[in-house]
Amino acid sequence: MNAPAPAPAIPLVWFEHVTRWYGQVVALRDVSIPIAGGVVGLLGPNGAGKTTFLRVLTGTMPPSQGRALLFGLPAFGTPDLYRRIGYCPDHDNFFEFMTGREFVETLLGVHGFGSKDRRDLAARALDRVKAADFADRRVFTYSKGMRQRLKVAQALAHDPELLILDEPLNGVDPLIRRDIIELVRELGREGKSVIVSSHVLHEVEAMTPNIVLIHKGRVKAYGNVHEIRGLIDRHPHSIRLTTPRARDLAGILARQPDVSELVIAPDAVTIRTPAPDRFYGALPALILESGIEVHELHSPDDNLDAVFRYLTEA
Amino acid sequence: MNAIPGLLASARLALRQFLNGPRKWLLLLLGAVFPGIVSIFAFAVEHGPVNPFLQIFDGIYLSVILLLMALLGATSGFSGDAEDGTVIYLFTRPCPRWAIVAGKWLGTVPPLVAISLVPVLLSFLLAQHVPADSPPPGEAAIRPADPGAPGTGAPNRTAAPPRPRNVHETPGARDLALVSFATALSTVEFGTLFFALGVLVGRPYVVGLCYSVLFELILGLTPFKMWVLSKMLRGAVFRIPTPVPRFWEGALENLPSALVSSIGLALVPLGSIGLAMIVVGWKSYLAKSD
Repeated sequence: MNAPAPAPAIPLVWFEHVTRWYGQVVALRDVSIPIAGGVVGLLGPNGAGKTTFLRVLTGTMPPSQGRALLFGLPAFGTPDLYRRIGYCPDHDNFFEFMTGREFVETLLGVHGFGSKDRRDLAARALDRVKAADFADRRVFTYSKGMRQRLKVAQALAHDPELLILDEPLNGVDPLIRRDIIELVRELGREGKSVIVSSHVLHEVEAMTPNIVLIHKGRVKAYGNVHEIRGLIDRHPHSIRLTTPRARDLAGILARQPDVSELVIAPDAVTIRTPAPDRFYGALPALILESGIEVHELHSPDDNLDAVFRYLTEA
Repeated sequence: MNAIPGLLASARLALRQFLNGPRKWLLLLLGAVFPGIVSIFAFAVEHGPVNPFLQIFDGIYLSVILLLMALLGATSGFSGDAEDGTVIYLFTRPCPRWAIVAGKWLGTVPPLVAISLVPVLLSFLLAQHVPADSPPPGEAAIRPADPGAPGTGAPNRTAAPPRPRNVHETPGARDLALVSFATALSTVEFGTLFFALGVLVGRPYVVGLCYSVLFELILGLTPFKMWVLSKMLRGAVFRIPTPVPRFWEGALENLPSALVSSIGLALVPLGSIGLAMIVVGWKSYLAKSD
């Protein structure tokens, strides 16, 4: 007997031709993307449309066109979804007259939790983001870092399946940055899904290899950073070779058909190639034949910064 | 989904915002104008109103001060959170948005009613200290119109005096009950109107101010006054005859003025938004609305 076919998995997030505009400004353009789960970094420069993406995703605004589904349900107009998600917005405003603890408890009250649950859940969340020490101070006395911790605490207080963090590392000191990055990783290890936005590349790299690149309202690429890295191969790729005989090496490399551009420095040669795989394959033989000593071979493009630069400039 | 816990939590939050912010002091300060004027008229002006409490209540407190108090107190009940972005914390909870908004209303308008009654009570106490007097023998007096005779706005005059003198009346418990009721209902009406502006439109304060100007100053001067709840109530409470028939009393001969009245009532909010767009610049208004 054949085993029953597995039910088709519903992606955590499903954007189908989502467009969102404000007046004449188009913030998201025809975005279609599935996000399966896990920790995902939403990456893009300021003004790329990240916050709009997250607002449509959290159902705080409807798409102007298309469909945004969360757990298979319309993200907008389905308040029950907020039991399963926690949202940490990018702005820095609170009910300033409250203490941090009151703030979290008040929002848990809107959730419908009873007073004992509110106290327990708030205490646990504040403890988790290391905010317990200052939780009984009024929010208007908080530093930027304390505010960020509090925002994250209110988002995870009700133990959501999906945490959506909009620029949580914005303007915080290295210690808090490390704590939040560690928290995101930890949540990922616990099986929670986290979508975290940032315009700083190494921050996202530190949290997850799964990224969505967004630029000018369009999703440029998504997936594992290494898969996206493969996209670079369609573009000219830089390789820097450090050598004491830079001019001699440049002469040999200039004759190669896969080298499209060449820059000579006193101790290095930097080439650009549209076919990095072929070039890497041929390079050892070239070096051996020439007898030129090469101390270091380094590709400045082998990081997320370069992926991002390539894709957004493309 | 049970909306009640979210509604109550939202109401508690709005009440705390109301009590913790500077709004209540501003409102009390604004409301203090009423007892201030009452005391000036009652003690300092010999030929002042017959009953300063009632007349100033009707002419100044209900028409101007209360309107401004409602504008100041209720508009930011929701729009404050919308402008600074904190509403996003509430809207990302498993509670329908209407319940959040209704909770905010519950935490904003009833406290506003309580605050609006404070100046009324103070003025009433002040007015108790103005003794009801009678004119000296041989001097003419102006007596108040008989409240039971609607339409007789003119005072009863005796012989033509060289310098008429008012007879002050001390307001009684019935007066207090009536003005308190009128104040409460008018505050609910104006408060709800401005609260709704805060929910529905961009720049609600400007729109609200334009509404007040249009409503009280411009339309108040026309023969076709707009009759909304508080004005109808005022008419009922003080038995002031209604110069313009309400549209549901639409005898055929009253139809033109009734039509003007009802159409005007519908146009006032739109006119207010239009005026606000002119005041702040329409591009800027629309940009904020986004």
